[in-house]
Parts: sequence; structure tokens; C-alpha cells
Amino acid sequence: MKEKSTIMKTRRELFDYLEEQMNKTYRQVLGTKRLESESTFVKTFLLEFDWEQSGKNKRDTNLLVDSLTLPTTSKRKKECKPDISETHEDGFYKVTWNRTKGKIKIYLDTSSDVDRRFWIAYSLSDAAELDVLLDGLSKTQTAFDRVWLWPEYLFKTQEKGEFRGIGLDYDYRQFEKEERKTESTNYFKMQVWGGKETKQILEYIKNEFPKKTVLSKIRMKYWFNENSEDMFALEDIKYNGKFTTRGTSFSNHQTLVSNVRCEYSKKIKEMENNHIIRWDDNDNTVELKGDPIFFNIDEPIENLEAFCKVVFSGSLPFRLWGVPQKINGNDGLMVPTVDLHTGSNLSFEIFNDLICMYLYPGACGNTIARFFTNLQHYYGCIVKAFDIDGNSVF
Amino acid sequence: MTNFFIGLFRGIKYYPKANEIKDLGYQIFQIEPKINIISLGKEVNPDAISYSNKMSHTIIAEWTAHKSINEQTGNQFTNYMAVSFEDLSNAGLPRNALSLKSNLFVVVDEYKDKFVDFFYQKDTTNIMLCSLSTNETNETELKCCVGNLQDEKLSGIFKQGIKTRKLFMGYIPILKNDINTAFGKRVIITNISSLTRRNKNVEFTSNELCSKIFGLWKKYGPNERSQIVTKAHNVIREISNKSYFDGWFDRSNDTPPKWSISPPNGKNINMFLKLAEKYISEITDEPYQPDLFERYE
Repeated sequence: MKEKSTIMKTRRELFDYLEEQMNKTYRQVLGTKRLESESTFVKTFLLEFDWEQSGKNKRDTNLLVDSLTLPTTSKRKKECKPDISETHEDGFYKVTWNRTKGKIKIYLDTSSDVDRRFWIAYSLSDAAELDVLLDGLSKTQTAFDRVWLWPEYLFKTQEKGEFRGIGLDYDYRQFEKEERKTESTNYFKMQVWGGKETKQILEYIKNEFPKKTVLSKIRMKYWFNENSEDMFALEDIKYNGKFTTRGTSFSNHQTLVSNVRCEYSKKIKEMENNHIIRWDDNDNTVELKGDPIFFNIDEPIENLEAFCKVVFSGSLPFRLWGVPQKINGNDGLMVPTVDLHTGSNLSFEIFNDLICMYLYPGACGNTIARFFTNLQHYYGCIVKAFDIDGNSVF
Repeated sequence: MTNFFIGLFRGIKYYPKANEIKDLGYQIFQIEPKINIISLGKEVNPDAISYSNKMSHTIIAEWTAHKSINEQTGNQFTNYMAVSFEDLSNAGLPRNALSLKSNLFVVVDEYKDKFVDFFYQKDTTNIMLCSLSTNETNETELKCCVGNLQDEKLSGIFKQGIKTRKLFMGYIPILKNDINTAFGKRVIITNISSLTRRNKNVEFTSNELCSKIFGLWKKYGPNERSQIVTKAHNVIREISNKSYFDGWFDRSNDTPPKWSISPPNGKNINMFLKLAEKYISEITDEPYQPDLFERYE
């Protein structure tokens, strides 16, 4: 099953085509337990884009070429510019990159979100190649980021359908290495596929290993209308906003994606409104808006310096850069920080049992979701986020 | 003190008693507001004003690092005490918060005695003097020395004292006196680094950088801004003169002069961070001593 070489001119046309692919892959897997060669699942990605940062005055297609170009990483490699093809619908594009292993194609919907901030990308290209490309873009293009679905949110999403499996991913080894532990074995990864009982398995493991049970992927069967049982989507949803789907109804898949986007976008905007610290200036009066966000840690951080070395090294997964500073009259460390994903300024105060995060004008709520999600994946699921009143933020 | 006051009155739950203050309905009205005192024909700028509609009470707060009380400080305190309900109303305080008003003064614990003597001579039914101290175990304490606030509940909270080992300093991340310190230099290089993440060729003036770094930039008067910009400019010059930054910084002759940053031949803009880290490692690593009594003049 090869990708169509012609351009889909409308989203409806694309949806019909993808529904056909969903059905085919579902039947193949059902019949043979595996995909035929050259056959791929439908992949959908939720992405975040900052138009302001990229230059409002540019034409959309020019801006997209700039923002979706993978810059060169070495003298030998050339930058990888995409080819953008317009369709009959505004804000709906076909984007093609020529990579060494072949072409990567996506259909990009930049306009169905009211603010055009959260995009949906659809593709039948190779999953691994797509992941490398999108990760590369989010690392190098500060206006472009993936979404970050924290474990509790993944679980809530899974409850909208029927459980078909879970993926867990916890990896403390970077911290262990910095703490000079002799053996780095502090990680916990597994995937369990099956039926409804996978929910019980998750509950059992979580009970036994609360710190390490970090949901990174969910598999679910989703019906929009429970009375039409034969119209469904079987979804794998990863914490970075990647949906892999098969089944009988693309519209059910689209509804779920759109629903996740809507909830995620609402949460991000709410966080930006409540947690970006700004001093609004009206005539001669200055009004403070926004408060920091607090991450409460059940198990105290033993070594603050080692913790900061990992979190603020500028490397993956946190991609925050800063040098901590001791402060008199305070038990913690203060860290003026750069978010390397977005290039924005932040500040942290790190205590043994608490992390206080300040976002300043120009910062993005996605940074909070990314930090919270990664903190759980790499430090432990014992972190809760609160506002100044102690209300849960996520 | 500004950060501490903001955190207390916004109710950061990790400050003891901050939730009680918030439950009484207190909120920050403004930092450094301008108040015209009609009776004296003078304008004053207290450090902060907080109010509660629920308790019908407004607090005019002022902190000073002065070691003793001289004529000027005494007059300043007396002026704050002369602020009337009408003056507060003219400044935009809600009517409901203007049945009661109090003055809160905070001084350095070490120097409190001279101030206590001054306030003992006053009617302290609506004046409270507090002191702020930091001890060797990193505990910061705000305690009442003398006087009362008109809201008895709030008065009671301050009389019990507020101790914390966690100070939340990020509402106003950098203060004007910090700019030449190791901490200030870190903040400057961190902010420049953030610019390099967004653009391949960065251009900025020292003034633009300062307005980005100082949240309350517009509260400073023109002279003070100009002093800060000069200091920041010198720090940027110091950074740009480092041999490892050779070829990275360029300064135009425009007025005001513009700094531009671009990678020298064969280098990648991402390398700027490594050099910034090198610069920070050269700066002394002594703990940052925040100036708890800084004010915006």
C-alpha cells in the first residue's frame, strides 16, 4: 500500500483516503497479526507553533519553509528544506522533505485551531523517520514544539475509551550518574498489550512502584457513539502527542485528536494566563499579574547540585540551560534559565522538597507541560504541580 | 523585601501565614504607587500598598535599610502617616477598602532600636514597625517591634512573626543594585543567551536588554534608568572583551549604540552557550546576597 502521489486538495479528501488506510491496516493486522510490507499505520501528530516568534509579516508558505527547515548539523550535511504545496483550503498544506532514506510527507492542518497555534499533522511515512524529523525540528526551531501529555492526562484520555494496553517509561539514570552511583539500574520500562485487564495491571504496578510507574503511551479502543460499536478507532497515543491509528472510523480518530488538542490548548492558555509573571502598565499604575508554579516533590532531592546539573545542563530531555546560584537567607538555589526549546527566559528556585518555576513575558505554557512531563519520566512520578494557593495545576 | 511582601500578600502557601493573609482578602494594590497628599501638597511613593475589601482596610508599606532615623527619614515616615483616605481614594483604592488604614514600616533588625524609639513617641494604633533579619541557618524572619495595624486579625498575624527558610525571589528577578554583582552578570549573560536561541543574528541595545530583564523597568525614573543602562552596558562590554568571545560581539555607532551578536566564521550560534558557561564559571561563586530593602526611586 503506497502513499498516493497526487495532492489531496481538501481535508475531506484526505480524511476519506486515511479512513481507507485505517481500514486496510486494521484488517491486515487482524488477519495476519502484522502489516504487509510497504504498509504503514496512519500517524497523526499534535504540534505547537509560535507564529509571533516566526515573523507575522511573512507569507504563510515562506514562513513554513523557514520554520520547517532542518538546519545543518555538520559541514558535510546540507540543511533540509521542505517543499510546501498549497491545497484548496487555507492553512492546509502538503509538506515534503527529501531525506537520505526517501521522502517524508505530511499533510499539515494549521488552521482548524482557532488561534492556529496547535497544528495537526497527518502522515503515512515511516514512523521512525518521522520521529527523527519532528524531534530535530523541535530541537532546532524555537517556534516549533511538540505537545507534552503528562501521565495523568494520558490516563484520563484512556478512560474515554476501552483499555487495550499501556507503555511505561521511567529513567532515572542521568540523575544516578550525576550522583556517582556505581551501577545505573534505576529505570523501569515496559509495554503491555491486551484487553481491559491492562487497566488492572497498571493499577497494580502503580500501587507497588508509585515513583516509577510513569505512563508514556496508551492503547485504547475509541467510539464516539457507543451505539455504533462497529465504528471505532484503535489508538496508540504517546506522551509527545503522536497518535498511531487503525480501525474503521477516521472521524472517530479525528474527534479524539481534536478533543485532546482542545483540552491541551485550554490548559496551556490557562497556565499562561495564571503563571506568566508580568507587570501590566496602565498610565502610572503597575499591576502584577501571574504567579509562579510550584512542583512539590514527595521524596526530597538529596543532592541539589547534582539535580541541577542534570536539569539545567541544556541537554535532553529537559533542554533547560542555567547555572545555579546559592542565596543567603534561603535554603535553595536560584537558577536564571534559558529554555532552549523556545529561547525564552525562566527562573527556578530549587529546594529539597520544592521547585518553584517563574515564567516571564515571552515564555510559553508548553514549557510548563514539558518540564512537568519530563520531571515525571526522569525524576519520578512523585511530583505534583500546584499554584500559590496549593490547587493542583494539571 | 518587595519580593517577600508580594509573596506574603499574594498568599504563597509555602510562606507561613500567607494563606491567612489571603483569607482576610488582602491583595497587592500597587508597587511604588504615586500618592498625592493634599494636606501637605506633596507626592509620596510608598514601597507598596495592599488592601482588603473584606476587612475594609488599606496598608501603606515602606521599608528602609537606613541604620538610623535622621530628619529626612523622619519626615518621610511622617508624610506616609499623613496620607488620608481621600488621598488613597484619589490614587484609585477601592472605596470598600477605605474604612481603616494603617502604615507598615520595615527596617533591618540590626538597626531597629533607633526606629523603635521614634515610633514610641507616636500614636501607634495604626502604625506598625517590623524588623527583618536573616540568621546563619538561612532563616529569614519578619517580626513586629512595636505598634498595631487597624485590622486586628492581620495585626495578630504580624505580631506572631513570620519565619521562613524559603524565599521566593522571582517576582522581581533582579534588583538595580545587583547589576554589577556576579548574580547580575549571570542574569545578563543568560538573557543574551536566550536572544541567541531565537535568532541567528541578534541585535539589541543595552536599554532594550535592561527593559527585558527588569520587570518593573517603567517604575524607574529617567536618571535611574540611565545609570542602570550604563552599568549594564559596561557588563556587556566586559563580556564582549573576553578573548573567547572574539568575533562574536559587534557594537555599532548608532545612538544608542547597538550590540549585535553573530557567530564568527566556522562557528555555530549554539556555541554561544558554551562560552556563556565559561564566563559564568569565571565569576566569583559566592552566595548571592539579595538586597531585601531595595526600592524603586
